[in-house]
Amino acid sequence: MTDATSSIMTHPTAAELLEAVMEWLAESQPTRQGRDAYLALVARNALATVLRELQQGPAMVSGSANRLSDLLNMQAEPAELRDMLIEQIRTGKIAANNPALLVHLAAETKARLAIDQPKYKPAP
Amino acid sequence: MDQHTNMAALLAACLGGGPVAGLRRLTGGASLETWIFQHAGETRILRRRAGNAASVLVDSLPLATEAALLLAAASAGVVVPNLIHLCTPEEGLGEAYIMAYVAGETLGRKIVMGADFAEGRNTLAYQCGSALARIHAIAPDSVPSLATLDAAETLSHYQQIHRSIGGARPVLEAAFQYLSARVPAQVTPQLLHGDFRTGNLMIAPDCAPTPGLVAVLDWELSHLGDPAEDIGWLCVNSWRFGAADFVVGGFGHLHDLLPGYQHAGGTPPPLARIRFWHMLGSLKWAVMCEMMFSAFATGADRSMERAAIGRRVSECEADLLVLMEQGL
Repeated sequence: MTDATSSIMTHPTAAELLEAVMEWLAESQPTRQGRDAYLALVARNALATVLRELQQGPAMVSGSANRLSDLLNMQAEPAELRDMLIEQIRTGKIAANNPALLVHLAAETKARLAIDQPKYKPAP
Repeated sequence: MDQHTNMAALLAACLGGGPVAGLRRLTGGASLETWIFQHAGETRILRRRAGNAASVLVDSLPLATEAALLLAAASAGVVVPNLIHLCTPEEGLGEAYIMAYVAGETLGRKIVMGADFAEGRNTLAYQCGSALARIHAIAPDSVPSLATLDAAETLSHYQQIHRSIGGARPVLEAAFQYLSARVPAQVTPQLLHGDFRTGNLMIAPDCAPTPGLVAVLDWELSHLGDPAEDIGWLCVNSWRFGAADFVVGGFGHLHDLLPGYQHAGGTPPPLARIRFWHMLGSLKWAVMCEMMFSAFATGADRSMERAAIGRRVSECEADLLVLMEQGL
């Protein structure tokens, strides 16, 4: 799978390096007990998040930028657009439950959650 | 003497002598530690504030207040661990108290999914309702002074924290605006547990002599407020541990909890109020995750867990969006 820099940085790619560390953490897990075992799981989960972000991050950022441009009807850097959106929500220029806003935020959040916690089940 | 030997000696002294054995640390971040040990044939728990560390959650109570709440709750018929000893500064353990160990499970996933809790899950929401009604009936003037936080104050408190330390999050901004426009009418403040949720409840398995809820733990966020707050907090999806269909704690429903509340003498709050506090609960948890990450970012508690928990904000955002789409 391609990730953020894998077109240039190879042998290994960043993802392959992460996978190697995650595999070692998994293989050596039986040697750990108590708090160490718990922390090693936290570490593996954190690395898995980084791996997903490497793989899904570029598409997430460009998707976000396109959605924000459509919603606000203007072009700018994604972070700038996001801050403008926050300002419009804060000042009431866009109502918090505006349907178009909620559709946008749902798409954003779905993409974030797919990186942060793909197994999380949102409230039904 | 190493740290453990020294601590064991101090514990033995404040318990009136006798050997202290098997002392080990159970959990804890930089601010609050939990230790387990044996003394006089009993298993005991030590709760202790680390010397100079500032609390990560700014609202947490002094341990002496927490100890007083354990006593008040026990008198009110709430299942809590027995308080054994409140430590004085002269005893050398710092801010600390010792309580009885209660056997059971606090891990959410085991409680909501485990086969050995299957029977108990049917009555757990009812038991939680009863415990909450008894907590809410404790007279505020019978315990040390606690802060009062109504809905509007809670919102502005967490909004302020989010804006000073949080990330740029449009979903959280929308949730603050949405809830601020729908603040319920004020009610007479009652004593709240403040963190009544799966994870802070000790549950005994079906094979135990007394299955189900055996102890309500972690009183450090107790305050005065709307009783619907405690009920709504227990409904936050973040502590359903994957059992998302079971609104109450991942094990039950409000139509199980509210009869328990009523049967124990409480007047159940209207569902609309519970739903408001449920949504505010998801928003609070998002900001609390930001606060814990901030402790990492500022260097106050440079632990891996503090760093990683920042990525739990998106789960709250997903839940907040569902609640906003459904409407309050």
